[in-house]
Amino acid sequence: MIPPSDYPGLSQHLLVGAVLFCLGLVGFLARRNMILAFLNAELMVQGVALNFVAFSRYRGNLEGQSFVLFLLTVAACEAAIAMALILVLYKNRGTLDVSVWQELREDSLDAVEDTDPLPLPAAQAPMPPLPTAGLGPQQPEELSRV
Amino acid sequence: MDSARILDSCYLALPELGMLAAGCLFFLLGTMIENRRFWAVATVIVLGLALVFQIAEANDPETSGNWLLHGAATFFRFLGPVLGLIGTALLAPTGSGQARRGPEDFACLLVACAGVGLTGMAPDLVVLFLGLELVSIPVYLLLFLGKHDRQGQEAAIKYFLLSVLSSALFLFGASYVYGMTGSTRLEGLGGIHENLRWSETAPGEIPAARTLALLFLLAGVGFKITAAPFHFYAPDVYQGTSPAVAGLISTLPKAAGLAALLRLIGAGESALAPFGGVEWSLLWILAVATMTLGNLLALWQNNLHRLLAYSGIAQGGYMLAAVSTGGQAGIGAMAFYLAAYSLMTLGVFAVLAYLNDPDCPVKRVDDLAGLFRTRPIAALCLGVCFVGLIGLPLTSGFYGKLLILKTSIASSSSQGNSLFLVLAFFIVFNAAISAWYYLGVLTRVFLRLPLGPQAKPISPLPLCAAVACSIATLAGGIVPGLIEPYLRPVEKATAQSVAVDATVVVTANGFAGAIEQAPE
Repeated sequence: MIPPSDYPGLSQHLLVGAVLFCLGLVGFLARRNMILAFLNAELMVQGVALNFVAFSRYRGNLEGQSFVLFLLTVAACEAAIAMALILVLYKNRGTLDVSVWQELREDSLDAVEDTDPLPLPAAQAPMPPLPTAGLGPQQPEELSRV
Repeated sequence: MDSARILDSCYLALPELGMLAAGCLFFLLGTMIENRRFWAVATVIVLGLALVFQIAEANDPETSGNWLLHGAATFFRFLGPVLGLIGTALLAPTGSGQARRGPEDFACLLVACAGVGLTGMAPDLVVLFLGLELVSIPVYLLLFLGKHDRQGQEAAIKYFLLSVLSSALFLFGASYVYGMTGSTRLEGLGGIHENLRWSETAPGEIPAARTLALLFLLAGVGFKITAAPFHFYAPDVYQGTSPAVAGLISTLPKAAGLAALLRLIGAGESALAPFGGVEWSLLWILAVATMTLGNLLALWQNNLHRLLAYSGIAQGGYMLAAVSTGGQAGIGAMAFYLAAYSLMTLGVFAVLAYLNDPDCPVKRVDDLAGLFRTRPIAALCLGVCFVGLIGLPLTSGFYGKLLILKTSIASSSSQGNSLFLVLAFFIVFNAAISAWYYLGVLTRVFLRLPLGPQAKPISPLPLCAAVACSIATLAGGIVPGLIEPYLRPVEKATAQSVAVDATVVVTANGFAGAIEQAPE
């Protein structure tokens, strides 16, 4: 085993990592907006990344830092899936609030009534219709011929 | 690092890498070829090749035909492709109304099977984490692709958010393990002998860092196994998705979670307790809570998918109980039971996938009423699988439970710890409770009359899978000697535990012999 180097900054780094992790956990549990809930989970992962880098410095090897590289890649994959999934859910219900999704529950339980719903975004004017790709807009036929 | 070493390690994981590469190809080429049958055949070929390679690999002299070395790595590498083959049969049929043409779900299946194998053989925390994610990420996609309605989307987002949370918890524990051992290698886990010190010169140490790391790791893995405090998402997710995907979710992540657990607590190696023995007590508590809670909550269920979800939670508790006895024999029992459970549960879900007809869906237990009169083969498969889940004799479920009970009783006498006797009592008690709701389903299937119009199956493929699972369940109960020799404890442990292991194997084999001879 590699003997630990004398690295007085370790405790501070671990503390910040733990604080980030806990803030993320609290945010994940408290937030109702799906994107913010996911971002809070990412915050937890970033806290872990800080732990890894601090321990890497403390132990004097690069294994922790290489772990962080893999960790960030996986987090990026998850973010891509999260955005795709949340987009579909948003299209379906028109809101990012997780608490509107209550169809799956025990038979004996009633749906929870939301006394304080998230404010809906202001209605926007509908987008101007665009022609389908590959087809030009319909032009009135010219009647006169030379 | 020299390239020869990298190539060597690639060769070691060749089947898993092959499955991953095939999955990526499927995603790419799926946009060009929309023939689903073609992709199903391709999946079967890839999985078959992976299995053939595993069989060749498993006979090498180093492991001497034993699958339990290195945290049962060989066992999990076999289990992945086998579950994948059955899963292909479940996923293959498409309804005319469903917009499922491409091979995306087969690609997800391949990647998830590779993930199970990689988790089982992981030498390093990084590979362990990647293996777990390789199971989770395809499962999100499968959930999303499985059902295109609101329930399916709700199930997908629930599973997704909680799974991301669970991997964050796992990673937090992993970071402290790295800090304490100074290496991400899993062999280094033996080096956690003392608590983490702030530095060499400072006197203070981080209080209970080892226990903290263990708690976070167990929480992360517990989500995958659906262990008791982390089980709550399972019924909702199963309810919201199609039977085929629910079958896969009830088996693949659970197998990966158990594989990760074995790697982490070092249970494959003899008498290595990296977390100072706390892990066995924690696993004991988790096991008892998981099986009791799962079975009690299952008693109230009307929805078939929810019932099977709670049943899966409870069965996970039996497997945790086997691991918590902390020896090679326990791991052998766990491996046998995991294989048996996976085949039985996939068999049940295969029957549900066979009956999956959008016009008259089979959702509630009552929808199965009179199945024996209308579809006797499907009903018989369902009967065999449920009897196995109860743990009645002549099924692999019985033999697996017997192995777990033997192990826990043997550990209580060898370690002088009567808690393992309590564990054995809980297992028997829970098997009795579970018989109530499983038999409730079976009475409806075999004794009642049909209530309404019956489903018209789309494809016979899931039924073939169900028949295969039922035959495997019966074979595992009548001739357990087919698989059991591979799962025998390794003779590497201390003399005392070897003696205990030997008695367990001898008694279990004697019992199996008695069963085999009984009909004559």
